[in-house]
Amino acid sequence: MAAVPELLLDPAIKIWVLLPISIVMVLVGILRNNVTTLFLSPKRTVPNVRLLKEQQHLGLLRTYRRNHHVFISQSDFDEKFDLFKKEYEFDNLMRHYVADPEKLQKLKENPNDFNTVMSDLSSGDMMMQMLKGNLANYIPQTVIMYWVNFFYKNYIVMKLPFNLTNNFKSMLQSSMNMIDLDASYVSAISWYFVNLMGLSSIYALVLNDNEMVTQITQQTTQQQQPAPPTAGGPTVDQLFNSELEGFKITDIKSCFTTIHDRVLEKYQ
Amino acid sequence: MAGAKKHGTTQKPSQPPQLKAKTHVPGKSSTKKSSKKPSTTAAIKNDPFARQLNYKPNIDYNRNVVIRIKDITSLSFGTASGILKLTSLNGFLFFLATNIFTSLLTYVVLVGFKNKGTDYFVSPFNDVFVNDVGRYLASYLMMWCLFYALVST
Repeated sequence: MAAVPELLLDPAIKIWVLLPISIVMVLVGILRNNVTTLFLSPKRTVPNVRLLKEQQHLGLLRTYRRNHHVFISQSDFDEKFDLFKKEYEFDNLMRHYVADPEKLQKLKENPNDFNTVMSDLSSGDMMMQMLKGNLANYIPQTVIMYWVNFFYKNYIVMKLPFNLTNNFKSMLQSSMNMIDLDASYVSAISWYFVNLMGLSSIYALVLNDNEMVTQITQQTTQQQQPAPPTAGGPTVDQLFNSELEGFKITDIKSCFTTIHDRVLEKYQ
Repeated sequence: MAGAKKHGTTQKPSQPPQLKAKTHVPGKSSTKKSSKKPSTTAAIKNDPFARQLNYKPNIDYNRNVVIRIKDITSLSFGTASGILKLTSLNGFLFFLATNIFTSLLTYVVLVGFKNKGTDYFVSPFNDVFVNDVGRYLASYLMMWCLFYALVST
């Protein structure tokens, strides 16, 4: 290490530039967390009742299929299958959705029309939710970046403790035309980037909520409501049919077949 | 089942971090139960229903304990290396050494030699040693840069 540094930095910089940027970023992160919880959670609108019903019936079928080992024997399973088959038959199914018998008859002749019944129920508020989530993520980033660029432009803020190649100069020393300057002297925007990556631990400790932090830092919004059927997708009838088909070909392996061994093992 | 498990049945909130047994399911009667001892009967060995059933909240809790410990340590070791004025490769080696050291210590203290890591984690090596290294490196880097700048100017 050279005795005389090639560039002397004003000690006031660290107090008036480095620390404010960090503090602002931490505070904005906390604010964003609060805003997200405030805006996104309680506004959960009541989903479409038909859609929910349908999803839950499908879910019931899937659950039975996944836990097929609770059936005692194949005949037990078949009994259940027959029950489901009767319940989710086309006529029976449609009665939940369409009350008018004339319309029902029409649907029977042309089952693909059923999609049009469903598709105008597609919710606009889910789009709104996603939009809000994205806005809560992107607006603060843009604002802070603009703020950093506006306030702390055109001067060196810190020296990084490691060397970088000259390729980084265009990014970390933008708007500074000093060709010979070492690339480890960087401007404020690079401190912003270091913070952007490194603050996730701080958020996790301050907010005490790891799930939220990963959501903040990775900027992903999860879709929690069932997606409404789109115009080109499979009809409800087809969905139930395919599920029943899968139900039928399931290979039963009951968990009761070896239960004596396990009980004996346990109380040996 | 409760008798077989030594850990995880009582968790007081004021205690230092302690792992919860992966399979502890309070009040749930499960059809899949496993004995902790390696089973002797061949019939049990090949039985898919004798396998351990994981309890997700406990697994998540354990993972979060490790994450929290490593968050704090990576931040504080970053501070330390900034104050020590480590530069370039030394700093990264310091991170590597401290990270591995913390992971080892975490494993030894929380899991110990008597238990298997698989009692608490789905994949113990990944969960304790490998996962989220990028995040810890970023935190370490931030504190290192900050304190290096604070100390040296």
